[in-house]
Amino acid sequence: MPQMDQKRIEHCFEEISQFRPRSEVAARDLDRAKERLAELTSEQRTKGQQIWRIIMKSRITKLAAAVAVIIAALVTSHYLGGSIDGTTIAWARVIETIENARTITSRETRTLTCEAKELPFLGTSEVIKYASSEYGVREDMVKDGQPLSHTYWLLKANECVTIIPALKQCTRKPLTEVEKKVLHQMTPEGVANLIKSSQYVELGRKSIDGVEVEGLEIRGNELVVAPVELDSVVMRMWVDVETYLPVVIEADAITTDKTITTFTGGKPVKAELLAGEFEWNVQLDAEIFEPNIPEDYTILEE
Amino acid sequence: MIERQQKILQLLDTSGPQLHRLLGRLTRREDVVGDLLQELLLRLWNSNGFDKAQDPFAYAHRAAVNLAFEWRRKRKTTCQLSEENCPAADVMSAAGIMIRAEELEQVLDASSRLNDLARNVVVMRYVEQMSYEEIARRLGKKPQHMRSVCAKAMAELREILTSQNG
Repeated sequence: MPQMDQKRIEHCFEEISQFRPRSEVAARDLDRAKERLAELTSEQRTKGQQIWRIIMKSRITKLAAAVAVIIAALVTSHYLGGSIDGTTIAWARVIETIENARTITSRETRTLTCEAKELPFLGTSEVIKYASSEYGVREDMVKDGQPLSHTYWLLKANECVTIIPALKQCTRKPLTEVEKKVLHQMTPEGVANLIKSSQYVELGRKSIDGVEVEGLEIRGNELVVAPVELDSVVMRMWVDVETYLPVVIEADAITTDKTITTFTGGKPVKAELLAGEFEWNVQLDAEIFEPNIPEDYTILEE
Repeated sequence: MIERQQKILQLLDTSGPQLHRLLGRLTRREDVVGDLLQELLLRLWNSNGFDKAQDPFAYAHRAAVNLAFEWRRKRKTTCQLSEENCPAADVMSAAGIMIRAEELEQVLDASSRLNDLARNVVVMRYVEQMSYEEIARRLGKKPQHMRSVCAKAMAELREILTSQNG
């Protein structure tokens, strides 16, 4: 092929500029584009009838972030061990297991209610959670089989990224000092460092799905680091008596913080969490914690 | 949202054929232009930036250029010939046509490696045949700056194409 000097390149561009689609093709494509625009408008009107579409985009993003914060606060309280004074061998083994873990995965059901009724647009959702002492935490929230949000709390980048597929929107913001503490507490390493005394009640033994477990209950919002005010927190951890690993963690929190209750007309919100299917020290690659933001998403920097 | 819809509709009415032609020129594929036009529409529909743009056509033009070059980067490098759109085909041998088509594809592929501003300026200057004053007005910059960007872009294209052809 001949060398491409400036003149030759310009000549190529000249030929490129002469390319002209056939008029009937252009007309057909433009008609289809207008039809598509009409479809988009119609879809928008239909979706607008759903309650959560009525809320402004920025508000739903903030609510999702605020809910994530509440849940993060609950999660923090989960990983606080029980009898941390070490006098009870079983609980000391539990804490030792957590200390040695580098990763945790779990599946959670989260329910938000106000006056015993599920919140209209979030209500009950399922969350798959990945926690790594090296990379941070990722949560994938699903509702009715549809992805609701993907939230990343990233240790190295020191930021929180939330992706909401239904809105084709992404928010990213640096972690506040409080959020950094929450994030650290959510990782296995952070959990291991959170050794402090707490008043707890032993719940004794029972069977969950054929597994014999022993439980304890901790109450008190002062245990939790959270950027929203929690009026009360109750956490129950059930541990397999043979493996010393948590099998089920339950948590309830009530908040009257205005950040949350602004969406419920000021009425208190209750967050209930049920976590299970724990896996410890599984291989979690760095790419799991990469927020792959699609190109056509709107990114809101806060 | 209604405002955005009306803005896009107006854009399609006034500048739809021009955007369609631009996508055709940058892809050289009549069969993909329709899909890309719809993709462009979707991007404008979902873009807050489009709402705020003082010159909606300039915004859409930039988006179309980016979209076309994204398509180029993703597709496999094949040489597509369409006799209806291949000028002066009757005076060239089949081999000559193939070589020529390959050259055009090379120039466009090389252009995808330029930065956004350089690529846009080159497209407006050489594909759309616009003056530097028009380009400057469209991009909100000075004509002299556009000349400089264009000159540097062409130098970069020469370098890319020279290194490719050995």
